[in-house]
Amino acid sequence: MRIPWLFLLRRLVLTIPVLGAMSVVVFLVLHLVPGDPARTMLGLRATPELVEEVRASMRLDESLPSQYLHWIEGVVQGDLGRDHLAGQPVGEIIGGALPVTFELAFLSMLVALGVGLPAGILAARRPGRVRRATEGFVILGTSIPDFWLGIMLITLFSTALALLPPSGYVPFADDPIGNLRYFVMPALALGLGQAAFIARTTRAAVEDVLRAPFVLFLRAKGVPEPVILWRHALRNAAPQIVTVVGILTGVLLGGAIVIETIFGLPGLGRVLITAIEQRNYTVVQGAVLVIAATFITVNLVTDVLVAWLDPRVADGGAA
Amino acid sequence: MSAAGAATPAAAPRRLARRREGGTWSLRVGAGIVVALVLVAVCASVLAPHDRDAISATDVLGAPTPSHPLGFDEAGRDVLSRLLYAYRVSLGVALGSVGVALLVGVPIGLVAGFYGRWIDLLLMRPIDMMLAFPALLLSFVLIAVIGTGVRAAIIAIAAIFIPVFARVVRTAALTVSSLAYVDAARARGASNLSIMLRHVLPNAIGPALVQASILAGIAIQIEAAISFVGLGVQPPTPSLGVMLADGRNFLSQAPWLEIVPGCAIAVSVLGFILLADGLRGRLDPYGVSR
Repeated sequence: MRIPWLFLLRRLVLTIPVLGAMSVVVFLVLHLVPGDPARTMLGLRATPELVEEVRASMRLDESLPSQYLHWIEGVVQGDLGRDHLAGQPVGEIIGGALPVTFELAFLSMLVALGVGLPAGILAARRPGRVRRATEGFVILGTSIPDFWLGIMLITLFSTALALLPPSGYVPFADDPIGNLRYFVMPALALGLGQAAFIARTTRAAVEDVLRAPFVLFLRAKGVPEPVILWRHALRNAAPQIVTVVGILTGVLLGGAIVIETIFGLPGLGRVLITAIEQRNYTVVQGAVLVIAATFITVNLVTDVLVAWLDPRVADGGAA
Repeated sequence: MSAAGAATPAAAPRRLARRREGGTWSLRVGAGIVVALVLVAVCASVLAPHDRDAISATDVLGAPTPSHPLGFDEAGRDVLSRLLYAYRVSLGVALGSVGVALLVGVPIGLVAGFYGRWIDLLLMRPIDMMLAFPALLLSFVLIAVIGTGVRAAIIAIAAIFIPVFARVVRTAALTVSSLAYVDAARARGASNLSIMLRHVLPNAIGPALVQASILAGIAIQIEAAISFVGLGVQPPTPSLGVMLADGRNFLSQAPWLEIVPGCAIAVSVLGFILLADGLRGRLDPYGVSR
């Protein structure tokens, strides 16, 4: 498999305007709020001096384009502004929260793939009861809200069985086992619903490949079923599965916002929710920017991965 | 149709028949659930056995009894009565957001798909931009700007769905616009507007309606999520999300406060998904909405 350099380059170039437009939208969020942003953020009890100081640091007296340029210049250099309520750089707050959200998203995706892939393959291989069971699982997984599943997991594993801590967090570097114990339930809550989608996509993709004429040929040639499944069917179904993984990352990043709140994980979602409640717009901007940029990057990576797995995509894209 | 090709010829019609039967089954069950939900929501004030706000200090977190089959909440209010009103609010938010998204998204998709070229580009670029945000994040961004409450929740959820409808209708409109009967209408001297409304829209709306059913179910989940974290519907107005948030701290004493609204959400989502499945065979034979 050759690496689709041209496609990669094309996709990279196409990502730049998306990132730019996204940053404009995020920037405008603060300015669409009625009233003086500095005053809204600081609340009624803020001293006029403080309001003036914040106005000056955000350059609120300048024109919108100049404010944007000033802001984006900082963002590109990793400066997301200052949290005027806590007196801390926004970059620092987000930098501390980012590993938590990434770990949650990563572990949830592991759960989703670990459950969804085998379920999908099983359903494609054995029509009938297994397939119907998978379909039931898919409908159930879609119907049950992930955060409610989280609450139910807490009831079962923390309240009733006292096996896992209901909420909290320790960094992985300090205590790997303790860290994972805190992540088991959030990852299950967030991942199981996605597993349903992975299972459905995998089943459809593998079924399609198993029906292809070349599989009939392989069978006729006497190639053992496991080899057909692992080397041929999954290999050809991979691009579709990767595409869904990319889409689901967006769902995961959104879902993490709520799941973190339930399990007391100090991630980006918690930062965002608290900032919205406090009308702390510099932090809202920073958090939204980072989450959206992550999503755009993941989409870029999955697109390139799909092109690498299925060269037809890259050729079609470059033509 | 390669499924039928792989099977024996005799099995093909049977399988097709079974699939159609399956569609009817999910249509019936799904439509049944959805109609029942809407009736419950509309008739909440008649069906509720007690006053939803009546507080009974002696029954705080009381277990279910024959006259209060779903027990009492943390303020001693009847859970069943609150649930019925919560349904009204949650379903209202869900259908409201889908309605708003249809009203905005369908015309955009219709015009973009019908005219194509630079109009398509001009309309669809901002729509694609919205898709660059993870769905829930987009809702929270809007809430940060417009605030909380029922109306804000409707707008925040509708924003997620607008690109979905615009894209689905655009794809269908693109296909329909190149068909012979559109050319015929044009040759007859029909105006663009009348072609769009009389010929393209009716043939392009099916997939969007299938999506609308799925999205109504998803909207119920999103309402619950944003109200649960305190940024959606605000108490004392009951919604399914508000009920879940209220009951959270009493999980060990009164688990029904969490189980009841959660199951209520799951059943409604199930209803809308089944309805969409059933509708797909009738409204979207080419599978655009998949």
